[in-house]
Amino acid sequence: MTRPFFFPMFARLRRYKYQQWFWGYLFVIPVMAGFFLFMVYPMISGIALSFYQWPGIGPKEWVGVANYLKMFRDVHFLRAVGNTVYYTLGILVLGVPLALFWAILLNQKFLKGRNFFRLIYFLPTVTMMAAVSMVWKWLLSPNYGLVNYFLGLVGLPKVNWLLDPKWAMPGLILMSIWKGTGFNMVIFLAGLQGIPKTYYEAAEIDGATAWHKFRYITLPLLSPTTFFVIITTMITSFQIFQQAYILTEGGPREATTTIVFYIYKNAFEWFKMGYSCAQSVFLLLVLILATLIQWRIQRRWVHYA
Amino acid sequence: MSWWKIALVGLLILLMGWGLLAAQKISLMMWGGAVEEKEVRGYLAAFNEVYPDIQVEIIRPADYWPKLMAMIAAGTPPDVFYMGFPEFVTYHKMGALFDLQSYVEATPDFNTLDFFPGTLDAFRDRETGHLYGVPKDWSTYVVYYNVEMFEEAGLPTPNELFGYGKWSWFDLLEVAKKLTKDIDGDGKIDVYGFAYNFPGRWKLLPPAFGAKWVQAPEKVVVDTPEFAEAIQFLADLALVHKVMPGVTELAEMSAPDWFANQKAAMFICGRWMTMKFKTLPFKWDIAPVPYYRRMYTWVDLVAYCVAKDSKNPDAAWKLVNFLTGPKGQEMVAQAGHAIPIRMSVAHSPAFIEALPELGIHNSVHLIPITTAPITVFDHWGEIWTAINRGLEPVWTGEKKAAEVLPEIQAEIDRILAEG
Repeated sequence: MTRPFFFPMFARLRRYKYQQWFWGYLFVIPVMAGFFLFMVYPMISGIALSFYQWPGIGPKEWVGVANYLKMFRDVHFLRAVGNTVYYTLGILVLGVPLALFWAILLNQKFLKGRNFFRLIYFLPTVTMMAAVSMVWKWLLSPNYGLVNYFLGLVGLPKVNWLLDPKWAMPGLILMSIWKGTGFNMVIFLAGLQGIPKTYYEAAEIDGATAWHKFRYITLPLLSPTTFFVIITTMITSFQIFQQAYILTEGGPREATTTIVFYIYKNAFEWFKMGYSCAQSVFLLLVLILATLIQWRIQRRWVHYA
Repeated sequence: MSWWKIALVGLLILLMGWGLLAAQKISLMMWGGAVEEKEVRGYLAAFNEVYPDIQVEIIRPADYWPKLMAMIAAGTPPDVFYMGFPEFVTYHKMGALFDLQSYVEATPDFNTLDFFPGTLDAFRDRETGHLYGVPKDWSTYVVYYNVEMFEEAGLPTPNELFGYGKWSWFDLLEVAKKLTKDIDGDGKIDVYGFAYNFPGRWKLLPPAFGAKWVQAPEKVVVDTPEFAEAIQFLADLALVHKVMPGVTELAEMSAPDWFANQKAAMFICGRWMTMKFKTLPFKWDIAPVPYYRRMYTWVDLVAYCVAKDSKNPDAAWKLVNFLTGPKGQEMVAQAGHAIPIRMSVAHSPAFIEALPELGIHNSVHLIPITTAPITVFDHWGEIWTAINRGLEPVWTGEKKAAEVLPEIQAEIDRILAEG
């Protein structure tokens, strides 16, 4: 038997040859190297920088927790936090049930062309946000926009979507739901297909209605999927940036200035690197806390079959 | 592979390496679109006729400022890069820029007196007076007007009005009223007398109304009657007199498009619009910006800076010196979307004949330079954001300028006090 020529040179390797863990580690090294280099290292230096005053270039000045104290007195930052929470709640309350609704609809056997509709609903997810934003700028245009046209058809007044401080955030939420719901729908679909048919058949024999089947079989057995969707949607929603940057530039009157948008402004336009790092750390802590709370309360409603 | 093939490949690699070493390589980072990049490539071709051994690589990122900062922070800055006069203050303070003074003194034909007054000073250290950037071109705001609309209405043109001494902002309002029309009578205005991106460019008015709002780099005063008067006048053009597209109308069509689509008779902008408007199917011209208590126009100024960490400052200086020299500036004049920084070029046929259809009116851009000090203050980006945000309710008519200015002033004072 001929062996690759390098094995005699590394006798130890030959012993590992049949050990799975060696190959396992070998294959994850590229990913882990990337993860540590581009995620863990910047994260740690970000935390360190949050204790300095630093314009991005040149010497740093140690300021202790001053950046953190400043954050809670900064009305613009607090408004950004409020806006981000508003956006996240909007997506969770409207977007997640909608994704579930579509998933259930597109899981029905009787529906013709299911795969076609699944594709249609998923398409926005793989479209670039910059392109989507430009299209939605037109859709939401007050006088010529399609959204207002449809509102007019059902007799509702025109809304000055992106220019009215009251309506700008709902406009962003509307667009983001259109853009992001397809992704959650696919995850729900996978979850739905994992529920064994036998439960439904048994329930039908016992005379359960469609609502009963949904409430007492689908919802509980889908709960691990729902849990996953809620956590990931919450995390991505908290990091909303592109929509605000392209569509509204944080306006009008800061109505769409989100945390990450404000971090961007501070870091790259106002040269307050340390302060923006402190805000990033705050965002990280909020996300960790929110996720921990979710893990806590999941025991009450998530059922692992 | 036989030995002589290996030797040949090795020799080739050596030769290529030698060639690369002999040619000096520097980078130039720019902003703008593909059209501007093509122009810069033209400048570089001319540069290489004089300096064939200096290769210049162009970097044109999508997000200029974050990219520049990241490159400087990483210790691999572009050798030469664009720098706006406001951003200069910040980058100079961070110590990212190369002190060009010794090069200037060692270059006898640089001739600082040939630059438009004040334009070099914007890139000097406030204390030592050393030069840290050389302006590449500049622009003043002017009024673009649709000649055909003025003829049709039988009105004297803005240039004629300027000549009669009747071209204040209030004269512009009167003219605009006569040019604003509801053609089909549906109650909606079809042609406006004037279009202007006022939420972003209100800066043109307060000094003309007599507000000295930038008193020092660390003293910005907006809460004055003159400032309020200027802002309210501008807001009322849309809100009260309805001669200018308001915030909603501007969201649907940008100010230059209102003008280009013949839906606005006048428009105010810098020199850079001329090349875009050159192909418009109607006759247009440029005139000076209106005055009131003072004559004032906004000056935009961009320089070439050399990175402090540049590996090859000698070659970088040669590039900067060439591009801002007479030959380089003639090419700027021909490109047409900015004004040459050298008076010898701006006052020569090279600039005047760049757009022959405008004829002598090209020089309209040159009128106000002696009366327009370049506006710079600290915390530039953050203070502009604060003012623009604070003025939003004025543009929509919810509040009067005089009501919001005290709040804006408090915000400015807070930002400046943070230091």
